Amino acid sequence: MTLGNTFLFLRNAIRLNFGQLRTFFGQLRTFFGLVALLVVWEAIARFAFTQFYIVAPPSAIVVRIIEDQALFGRALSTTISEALLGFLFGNLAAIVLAMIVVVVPRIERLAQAIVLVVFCLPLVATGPILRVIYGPGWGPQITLAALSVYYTTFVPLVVGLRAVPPSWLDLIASYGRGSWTVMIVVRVRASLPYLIASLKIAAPAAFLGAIVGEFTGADRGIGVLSIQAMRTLDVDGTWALATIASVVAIIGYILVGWIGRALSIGDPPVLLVTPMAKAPKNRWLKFSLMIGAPILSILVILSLWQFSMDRLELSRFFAKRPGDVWAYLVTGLHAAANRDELFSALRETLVVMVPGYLSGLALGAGLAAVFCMLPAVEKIVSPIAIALRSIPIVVTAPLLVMATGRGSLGMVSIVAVMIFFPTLVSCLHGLRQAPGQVIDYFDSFRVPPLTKLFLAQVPSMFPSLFASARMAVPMAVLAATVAEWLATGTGIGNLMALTSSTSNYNMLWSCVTVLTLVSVAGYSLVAMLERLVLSRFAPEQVTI
Amino acid sequence: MKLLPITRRESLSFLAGAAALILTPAGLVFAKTNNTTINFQLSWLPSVQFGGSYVAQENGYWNDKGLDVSLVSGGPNAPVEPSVVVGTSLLGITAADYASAAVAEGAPFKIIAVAMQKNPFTIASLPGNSVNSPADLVGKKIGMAVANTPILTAFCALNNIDINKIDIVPTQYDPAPLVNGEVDCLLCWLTDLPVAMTVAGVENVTMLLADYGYAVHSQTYIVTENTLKTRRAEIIALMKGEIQGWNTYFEDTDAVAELTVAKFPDLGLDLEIQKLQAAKQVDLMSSALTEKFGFGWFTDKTVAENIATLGLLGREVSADLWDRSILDEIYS
Amino acid sequence: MIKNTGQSTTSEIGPPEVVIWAINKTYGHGNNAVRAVSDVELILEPGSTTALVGPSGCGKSTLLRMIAGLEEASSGTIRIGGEMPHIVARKGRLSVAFQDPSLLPWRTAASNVALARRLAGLPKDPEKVQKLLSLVGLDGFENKRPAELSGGMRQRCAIARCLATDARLLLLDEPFGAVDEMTRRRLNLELPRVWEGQGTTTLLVTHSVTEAVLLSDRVIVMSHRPAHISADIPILIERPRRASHLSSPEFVTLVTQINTALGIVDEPDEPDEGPFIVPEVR
Repeated sequence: MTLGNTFLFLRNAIRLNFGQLRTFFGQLRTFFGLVALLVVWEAIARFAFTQFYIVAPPSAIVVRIIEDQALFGRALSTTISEALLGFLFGNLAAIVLAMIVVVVPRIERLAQAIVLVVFCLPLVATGPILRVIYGPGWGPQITLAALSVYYTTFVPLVVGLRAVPPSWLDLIASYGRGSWTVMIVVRVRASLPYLIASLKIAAPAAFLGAIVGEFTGADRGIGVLSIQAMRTLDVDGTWALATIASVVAIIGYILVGWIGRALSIGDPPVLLVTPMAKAPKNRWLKFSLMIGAPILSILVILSLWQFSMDRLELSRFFAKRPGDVWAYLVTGLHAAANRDELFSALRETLVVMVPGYLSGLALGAGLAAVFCMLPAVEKIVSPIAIALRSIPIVVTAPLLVMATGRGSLGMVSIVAVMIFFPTLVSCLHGLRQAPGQVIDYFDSFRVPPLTKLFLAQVPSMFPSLFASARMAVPMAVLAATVAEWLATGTGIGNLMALTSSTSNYNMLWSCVTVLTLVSVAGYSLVAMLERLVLSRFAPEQVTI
Repeated sequence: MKLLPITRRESLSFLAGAAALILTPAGLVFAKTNNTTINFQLSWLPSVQFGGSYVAQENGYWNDKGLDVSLVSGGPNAPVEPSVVVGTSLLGITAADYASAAVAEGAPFKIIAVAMQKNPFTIASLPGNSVNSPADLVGKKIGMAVANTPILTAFCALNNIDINKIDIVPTQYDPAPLVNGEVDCLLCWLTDLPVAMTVAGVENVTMLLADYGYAVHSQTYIVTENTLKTRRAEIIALMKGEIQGWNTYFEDTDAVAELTVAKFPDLGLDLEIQKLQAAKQVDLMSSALTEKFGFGWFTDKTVAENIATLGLLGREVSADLWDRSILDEIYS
Repeated sequence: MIKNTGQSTTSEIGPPEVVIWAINKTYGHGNNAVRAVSDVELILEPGSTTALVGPSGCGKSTLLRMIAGLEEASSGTIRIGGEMPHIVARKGRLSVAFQDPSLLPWRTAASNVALARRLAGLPKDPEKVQKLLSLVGLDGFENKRPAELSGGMRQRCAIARCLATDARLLLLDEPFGAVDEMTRRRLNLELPRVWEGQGTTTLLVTHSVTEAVLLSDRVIVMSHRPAHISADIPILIERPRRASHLSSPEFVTLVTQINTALGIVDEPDEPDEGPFIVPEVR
């Protein structure tokens, strides 16, 4: 070996190790970021709020979890079983429905509308109704878990099943085969990345749904324990349960992602706007479709409501039909007073929900932009944000109320926090999605990071921002109503809880109807805005 | 391309099937199949609040009478009334104000016995800044669920206090606001937050609303008019066992607390809290009336007082809501 | 006035010499290390056009990205007119066209081309933008967004954008890949006049041997990965090049010579049917 070669060899050896060191230091940095966070937390709990029953120090939480591991373990196994069953049923329903919609596109508008409405049903109100229908047992827990997952699976899956190059379809057609062959041979495989991505979100969501279900009079589970802990001033217990629930949710998220990677299924592109069937050319036909489709959807939903209740022979005492709600709010004796009560509660909720929603979105998108400029910070924050996104709001709502107070500021921040993390994660993802080699192009000029951010990255973030803004609407409703019900006792969340204890089921169903309408309207508004903005900033996403 | 042989009608029925799948995935799997058991719907999560019923179940008081009773827990989001109206449960526990509200909505209820003679609503405060009489409320910040505003209104009317001079702060299920000084006092149950505070080492002062004219029967037993006629024998047997259970309970409340904690190991119940709650509850359940006539008793006089207070709460009720025939038959 | 001074200062600089010395590039480390470029040494004469040909995935693009300052070499040195690539990039004196047109979907064709001047810190010049757009045949499409253009049109727009700055070094990475055959041939003949007129040093990565011969003064044949130079063939056909050159015996000989260097023996008359596309070699 010549001296030069030896030198080259040594130099390469050092360089290679340096590369390994760099990734090692990257992980170390994330680790130390977390440790620093825990130390600050412990210090705050130990020294700043000692006389208040608000913050439990991490060490006390760990001690509590170890002390009560048998109890927590049994509760956890119950809640996880419920969540798993709900996960199964919910995703199965979503998969079947998505396949039907893709094979029979004519029913798409109708199916989308029904699916959206069911997704927008407020869990706080559906809980007690389901408990009455099912009686004791796991029914409500499983159903609520299923309800919280099926929509986030259905929408991306429809996109995924369609994300197939047209030439493949032509290939199958050239062999004289029909839609089902296309479905089995091509679409199912092409949709797998989308399915995995949605199942990742579904895993924590199912867990959250099961916990809300347990509030409806279950005998055991994490949800039952957290109510107990909250009512008995058991701060350590409340935090321990919130920690356990968060960790389980995060593990669920990671587990599904791991399965996806094991099957070597990559990440899909950003979730697109739900592609709609092309509008017809004829102006009258277009107009009648524009008016007719929503009317038809409403009629079908109303008759499903009436029909399913009649079919299950549910008692009119609590299972109010569409006609009852109409009478209660419009034609009945005290309709005006009822409307006043309902709408003033709704106003109270909207006053905190809308600012919370908007500030959550703004904060998520804004911080994503900031992190994008500071890659070192992003490396620490990104994994933490992904983890925090999965934390079930229900168990954290009391903690947030403890920390931020019971005023409207506290409520605004609960809603904002609920929306902030998903938006942050989605926007960070979106910022990396600049089309093609656009970022390379900007780099070839060495333009300052801020110019690059505003000219290239922020506009390419829009699809992600709007995708999360849409999904955040029902989430904001859930966060606001749950917090009102559990913590502040105000607004429509409280009205719904109250009416079910005073047997005012007319009001409960009216709340459900109005809140669902608000959710659907908010969702549609964002979707409209999305089409408008994306037709300028990401036209390929609208026309696909 | 070949068109799929799916007609519009078929695709719609597909859709309906899928919708049914969403709405009732577990309905068939988890519906109760055993019809011979009697469901008894309790009003809250398990605790010594229902200690008498647990004693009845564990000591076989119901089995002796040929009944197989299943105790159904309630919870913050699990209403009692529909379960009794629909017939899922033969017997339910609820308060007189909720029962009268349900009657106003068309539920055919009868109150057949009253477990809590005194309403458990209490105003809890801290010793340095205590509320010992209704007059002390003036100028205080009170933490309570907004839903309970009618209770405070009625209480103020009974004691000639201007409710506008009390600052209401909405709180929920949680003693922290009082302990942290966000409010001066809390409207809560005697057996609930004050007990938790005491066990957590927070000294506190309580003032029972019932001691100042607030007469609303709590933890009442409700059945429907229909079952009162058709399933009278079962109701009598059920109530006999229940009364027997509570009488055993009064003999040794600590033992019942231990039984409750052991019976529900998955709830993480605190034995100290349960013991204190079990003891405090006795004051609410026993009175001169029950000493004389037995557990659950009520008279036309107490019913009249209830109707008066319920009127202040905005509930118009008639004395028909109460029906003592079951107790009369048991104690005769 | 500003425009004039701007142009005069840039033309004073003149096309740079590019020196590539002992360049190595390795991705990953340890057992996963993949060597992409191995000991490449090359000098691009000022004002010359050099074509890089080689099998797919051999590391041609990596080399080009290192010259553009988008990636750092694992070892070795690159100097553009005596300066480091990223310094030259910051001054807006080099211009890159990628395989992917990488236009911003929310800007019109004209605004995408104009963006290049903004990024290079140059004053606006709508006339030049318009001239470039008509050169690449996008007259009447100035106000269309990329989604409304065909794949070939987008690629042409990207080429126009590449020429919009007063860059003295053009780095073209397979820029005609998505352009249809007829347009490609037309651009092959017309574009060199633009950059020759401007006075630039040009490096072109291409799959088409015909295109390489037609456009360049020198063709560098790269080996399979890790890329190193396996042949360096000067093209001495007179400029300006014309369509008639394609069938000259001199041209056919050069194409055959390059194909041989690539390890492919052709039927001699094949180049007449179009550019020879180097097949995927893995």
